[in-house]
Amino acid sequence: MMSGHSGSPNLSSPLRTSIEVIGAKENNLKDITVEIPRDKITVITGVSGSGKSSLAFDTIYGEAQRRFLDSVSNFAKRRIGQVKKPNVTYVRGLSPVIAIEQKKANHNPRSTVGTVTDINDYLRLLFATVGVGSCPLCGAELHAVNASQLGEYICSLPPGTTVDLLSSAERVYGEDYDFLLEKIRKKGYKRLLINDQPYDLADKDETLDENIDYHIEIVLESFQASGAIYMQVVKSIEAIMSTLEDDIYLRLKITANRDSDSASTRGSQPNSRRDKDNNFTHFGCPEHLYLLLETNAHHFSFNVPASACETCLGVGTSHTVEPSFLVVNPEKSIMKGALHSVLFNTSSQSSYRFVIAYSLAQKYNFSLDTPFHLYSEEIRDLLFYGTKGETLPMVQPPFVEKRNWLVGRDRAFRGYVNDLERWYRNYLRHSGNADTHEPTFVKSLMIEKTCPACGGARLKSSRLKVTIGGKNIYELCCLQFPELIDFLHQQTFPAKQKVIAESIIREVTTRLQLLVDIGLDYLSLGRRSDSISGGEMQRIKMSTQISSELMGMLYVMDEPTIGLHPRDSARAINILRKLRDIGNTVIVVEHDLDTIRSADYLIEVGPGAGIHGGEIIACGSPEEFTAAPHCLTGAYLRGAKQIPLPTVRRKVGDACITLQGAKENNLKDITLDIPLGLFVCITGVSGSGKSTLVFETLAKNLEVLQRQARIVPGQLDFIFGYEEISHVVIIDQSPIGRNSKSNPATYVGIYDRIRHLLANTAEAVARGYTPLDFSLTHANGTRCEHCSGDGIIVTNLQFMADIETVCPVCKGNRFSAEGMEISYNGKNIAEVLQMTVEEALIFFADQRLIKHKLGIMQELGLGYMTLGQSATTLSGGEAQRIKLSYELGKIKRGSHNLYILDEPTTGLHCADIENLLASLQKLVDQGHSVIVVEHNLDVIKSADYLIDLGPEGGKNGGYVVATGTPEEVAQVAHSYTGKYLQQVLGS
Amino acid sequence: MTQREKHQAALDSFVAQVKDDPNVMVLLLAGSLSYGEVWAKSDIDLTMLVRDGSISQNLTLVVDSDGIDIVLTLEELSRFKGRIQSWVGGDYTHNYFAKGTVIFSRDASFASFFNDARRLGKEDAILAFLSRGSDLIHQMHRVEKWVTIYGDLLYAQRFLQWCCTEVAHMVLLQHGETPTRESIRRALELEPLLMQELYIIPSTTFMSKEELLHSLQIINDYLTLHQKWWSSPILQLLSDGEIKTESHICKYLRIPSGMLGWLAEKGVIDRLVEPSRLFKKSKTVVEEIAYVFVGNPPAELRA
Repeated sequence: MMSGHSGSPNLSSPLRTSIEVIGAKENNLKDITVEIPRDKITVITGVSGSGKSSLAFDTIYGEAQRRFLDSVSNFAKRRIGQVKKPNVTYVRGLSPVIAIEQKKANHNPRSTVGTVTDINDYLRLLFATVGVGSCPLCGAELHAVNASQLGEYICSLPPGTTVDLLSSAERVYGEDYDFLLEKIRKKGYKRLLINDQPYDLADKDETLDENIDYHIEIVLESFQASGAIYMQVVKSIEAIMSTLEDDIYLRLKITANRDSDSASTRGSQPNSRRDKDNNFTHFGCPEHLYLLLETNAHHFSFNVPASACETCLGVGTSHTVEPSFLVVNPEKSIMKGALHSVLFNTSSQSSYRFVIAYSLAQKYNFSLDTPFHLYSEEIRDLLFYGTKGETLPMVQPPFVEKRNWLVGRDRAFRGYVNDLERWYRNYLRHSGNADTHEPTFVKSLMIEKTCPACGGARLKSSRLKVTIGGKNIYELCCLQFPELIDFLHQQTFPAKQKVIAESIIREVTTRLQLLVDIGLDYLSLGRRSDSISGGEMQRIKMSTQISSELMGMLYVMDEPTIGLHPRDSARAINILRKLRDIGNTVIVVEHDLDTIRSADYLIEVGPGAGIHGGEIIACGSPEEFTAAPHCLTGAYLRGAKQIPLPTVRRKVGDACITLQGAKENNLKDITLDIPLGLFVCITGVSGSGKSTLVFETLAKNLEVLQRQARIVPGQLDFIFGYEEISHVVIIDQSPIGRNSKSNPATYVGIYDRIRHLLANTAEAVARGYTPLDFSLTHANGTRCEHCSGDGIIVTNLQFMADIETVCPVCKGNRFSAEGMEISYNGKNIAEVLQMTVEEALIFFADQRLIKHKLGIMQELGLGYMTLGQSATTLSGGEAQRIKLSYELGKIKRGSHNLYILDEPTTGLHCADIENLLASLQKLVDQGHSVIVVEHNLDVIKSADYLIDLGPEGGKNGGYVVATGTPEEVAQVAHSYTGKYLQQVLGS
Repeated sequence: MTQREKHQAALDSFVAQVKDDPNVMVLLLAGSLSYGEVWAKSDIDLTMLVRDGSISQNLTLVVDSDGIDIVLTLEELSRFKGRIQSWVGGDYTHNYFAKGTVIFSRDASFASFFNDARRLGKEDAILAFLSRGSDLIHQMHRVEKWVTIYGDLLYAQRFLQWCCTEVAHMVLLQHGETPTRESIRRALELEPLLMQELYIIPSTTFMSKEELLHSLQIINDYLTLHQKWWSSPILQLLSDGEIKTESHICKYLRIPSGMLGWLAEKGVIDRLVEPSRLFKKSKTVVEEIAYVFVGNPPAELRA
C-alpha cells in the first residue's frame, strides 16, 4: 500500500479500488450514485431503455474519454473529435478508457479482417522480408536484391559488357495495347522488346494485333560495365525502382563487348550465360537472368495504387454490366421504352442508336414493336452482346425524318453490354476529367463481380508471384484462421532470415490464435469487413485489445455475446476474464444470463424504461444480486421468472417455400422447405450460413421475383411456393433515419395525423396554418428558425469539444412562440412531441389510428420513448422495434406477408423478449409468416419450426443439420443447437 | 585564331575544369558551335548531366570561359533520360539535342542512348506533323478571312508567310528530319515547287486575291496528297468505331485539334456531338464536338 511522505501534501491517496459515479443525470438517470469495483468484470443490466447505456457509455466512458483528451495538447486536439461533458457531478477512479461497441465496420470495400486487425501489416512485412520470387520461365527461386547489390554485379562484369535492364509490361484487362504503350511512354521509356524483338515507341513500326498476347518488355536502362559509374548505376536503379513503381521483377540482358577478351565473350544472344559461377546465382535465375528487386511492405498492400490490381484498383471486384438491368420494362417493346433511356431514348429519334436498332431489326428479322420479354434468346444475345464482328448495312428508319450520318455505311454492332462497359472503362481511364459522363448511371446498370484480372486477389500479378512456402499473400488471406496458423508454423527459413521471420510469424499467429479463441475460427483475413456483423466486429476488436496486453485500462462493452451461438458464448466470456486478469476493469452492458452469471459484480438499472427507469435497483455480487427481492434480472437468474414455452406449436401445413440448390458463399448446394404460416427460426453457430440463406438467398430472390428488384440474389437453382406471399418485409437494426429531425412519430406515421389535428384547430385555421407548417423540416412554418427545429445550437470551439447549447430563442422546444400558441386539447406541438408513447396513448385515446399505432409501440416495450426523440439517438434494437411496430400497425387483413428479422433480441432484456415474442406470435396468428435468425434460446424454444445450419462455421458449415420443432431438433445428436435446446426444454 | 578556334578553346578549357568531378557524367554541346557557324556574339550552349542526387532541380546559369559566355544547363542523368524518352520528338527542343554533340561522357552507354534519342521516330514525326498542321490550319483560316472579309491582301500575305514556315517544318517532318530555324531553306531543297509557291512568290511579289486563294489550294493539295500518312494515328484511334470526343482524341494523341476538323471537312471522319458534363458536379449537359470513323464512307461520298 502506498503512503504519503510526511511533510508533503498527501497526493497519493490509498490505492483506489473502485470507480465512483456521483450524481449522474445523463438522459433519464435520476441523479444516481454508484460504485463499480476496479479490476473486475461488472455487468450492467436492466430492461431496454432503463438507462444502462447512459450510465456505462454516456457517463463513465464519456467522462473518462473527455478527461483523457483534455490532457493532450491543443495542437493535437485540433485533430481529434472532442466529446462533451456528461451530466454528472463527479466520477472518481477512472482510467484510460476504450469502448468496444457493436458498430458495424465501415462500408469501405478495401477494409478486410486483415486490415482492421492489423494482421495484414505483419503479413505484408513477412512477404517483404522473407518472400521469394520465381523465375517465370523455369521457376527457379529468386531472392530479393537491392540496388547496391545489382549495381555491384553490373560493375563487376568485364568492362564494356552491355547490360540492359528489362521489365515486363502487361495489358490492363479490357484495354488495348495503345493504352499500355502510351502509359509506358509517359513514364519516360520508349524502347521495348516485343517477343524479344526491338520496338521503338517513337516509330511504332508495326500495329499490334489485339488478339495476340505479346511478351512485352520495357528497356529501362542500358549500362556498359565500368567501375567508374558504380554510383550512377546504383542511383539509376533506385530511380527506376521509384518511377517504375509497379514492377518488382527485372530481367537482365547481357551482351558481351566483342572487342574484349574472347574468353569472356558470352555472345550477343540475350541471357546466354554459360557460367553460373558468379554472384548472380545467389539472387537471380542464372539461366534466364530474372531477378526480384528488394520489396517493402507497401509492395503487398492493395491500398497502394502502385501495388493494386490495375483493373479493380485493389478492391477485388469490378463492375460489369448486368443485362437484366438494361431492360427496365420487359413487358414493353423497344420503341415503347423497354430499354434504359441511356441505351435507347424513345424521344430522341434522330439519335444514331435508332438507326442501329432499326438496322439490326431489318437484318436479323425481328420487330422493334414486339414486347421485349417475347424476344428469343438469340435476339437478346444480339442486343446485349452484338454481332460478334459481323457488319450490317445501316439503313434509315422510315419513321425518322432526318437522315443520320450512319446511314449507308456498314458497321458491326458491339452490343449494349459491351458498349456500356467500354464507356465505363473510358470513364475510369479519364476519371477526374470533364470529357466523360458521370458514371453513376452506368453504375446503376452494373453489378459487382470478382475482378476478372486479379480474380479477387486485389494485387498486381507480379506481387502474387512472391510466395512463402509456395503460397502468395492472397492465398494466405483466403485460409481460415486455424489453417493459416498451421501453415505458418510449418514454415522453415534459412538461418539468416530465421530470426526475423519467426518474430513476425509469432506476432501473426498470436493475434490469429486470439481470434480463434474468441470463436471467429471460420473467418479469414481476406474477408471483407462490410460482410461481417457488428457482433463479430466487436469480438475482433476485443481480441485486438487483448493482444495489446495493456493493463490498468477501462473497457466498456456492449453485449459482447450478441450474435454468438450458446456454444461460443463461453469463449467471449473467457476473453472478458483474460482482460480482467491482466489487470483491467471491464464494464459490460449485457442481457445474456450466462454472461451475467459470470460477472464479478452486477448492477441493475430500472425499474422500467425511460422516465420509469434511471435508478439503481440492485447491485452486488451475483449471489447478492440473485437474492435481491425487487431485482428483475435476479428473478430470471434464480428461475423465479422465465419465458414460458408455448402451450401449443403450430403444425406445418402444405404451404412452404422450397429452395433448391442454394450455393451462395458456404452453402453446400442445399435444398430445403421453409414452412409458411409459422414462426420459423433459423439457427446455427456463427458463420454457418444463416444470413446467407435467409438474406442473400431467400429474401433477395423473392425481391427479384416479386418486385423485379435490381439486385443480384444469392445463387440458387430453383425457388417454389413464393406465390403465396404478398410482401416480403425485412426488419433489420439499421437506423430509422439519419436526420436529427426524424423521430418515432414521423417513422410510424402518426405525425401527419398530429399535424392535421393541430392545423384544424380554430386558432390555426384563423391564422392560416396548414399541416405542413407544423413540420420540423419545413422552413418558414412554425418551427424555430434560429435552430432550424433542432432545439439546440452547436458551437464549434476548434480544439475544444463542440458545445451544444439549448436554443436561446425556442428554449429547446424546437418551435416558435407563435407556433406554440396553437394547442390541441391543451397541448401545443412541442409538448406533444415531448410526450412518451404511454402518455400519448392516453392523450390521443379518442384518435383511433394514433391510438392503434401507439398501442403497438407500447406492446413492444417502447412506452418510455418520447414521440419526438431524434432518430440519431436510437439504438439498433429500438430502431428495429419501431420498424416492427410500423409493420404491425399497417398490416392489412387477408394479406400474407413474410417477415424476416435478424437477431431481434439484440439489446433486449428477458422481460422485453417476452413482449417481442408475443408480437411475433401475433403476426403469425394474423396469417403471416415470420422467419427469425436468432441465437437466443428463449426465442428458439418458442418457435414453431427450426432450421439448424452447420455443423460448424465457414467452410465446414453450410449444411442443413436439423429441421423440425424445437423438441425434434433437440433430439438430433450432432446439432449444437439441439444440445443447448435440451437444457432449456428440460428434455 | 579563327572565331571557331576561340570558342573551341573556351569550351576545352571549361571541360578540363569540370571533367574530373565524379558527379559530372555527361557534357552535351548544342547550338551553333555544335552544328553551325559561330561569330563574335555567339555563346556556347552546354548541358551538363550530373549523377542522380547531385542536384534537386534543373539549373541554368551562365559562366565565363576565356571571355566567352557558356550557357550551362544542369540536369540529373536519369531525369534527363526519362524526359527525352517521354517526349514526342520533332519540335525545337528535340532539334536542339538532335544537332548536339556528346563532348564528354563518363558512362560509355550514353553515346548509344543519345544517338537513339537524336533520331526522329516515324510515329513521332507524324504526331509532330499533326501539331504543326493545327497551327497551319489556323493561319490558313486567317489568310482566307483577310482576303474575303477584310479585303486586306497585304496582311493576308503576311499570314501566308506564316503558313509557309509551318509547311516547311511539316515538309522536314515528312522526310524524317527535325524542324529547325533553317527549315524553309531545307524545304526548298526537298520540295522546290511547293516552296516556290509559298516562299519565293509571297516574299518577292504583291499577291492578288486569286493568287492568295490559289496558294491556299496548294497547301490543301499538299495535305491531301499526304493525308493517308499523317492521319494514320487518328484513324487508328478511331478504328474501333466508337464516337470519341475531340478533347479525348487530342489528349490521347497529345495533339491540338486543327487537323481533326480538316479530316471531317474532307469526309474522312464524321463530326458529331456527344453529350458531356463540363465538370463533375455540373448539372448541365452540353454537346461536345466528337468524331467517329466508320471505315467505308457512304455511297454518295464514294461517288
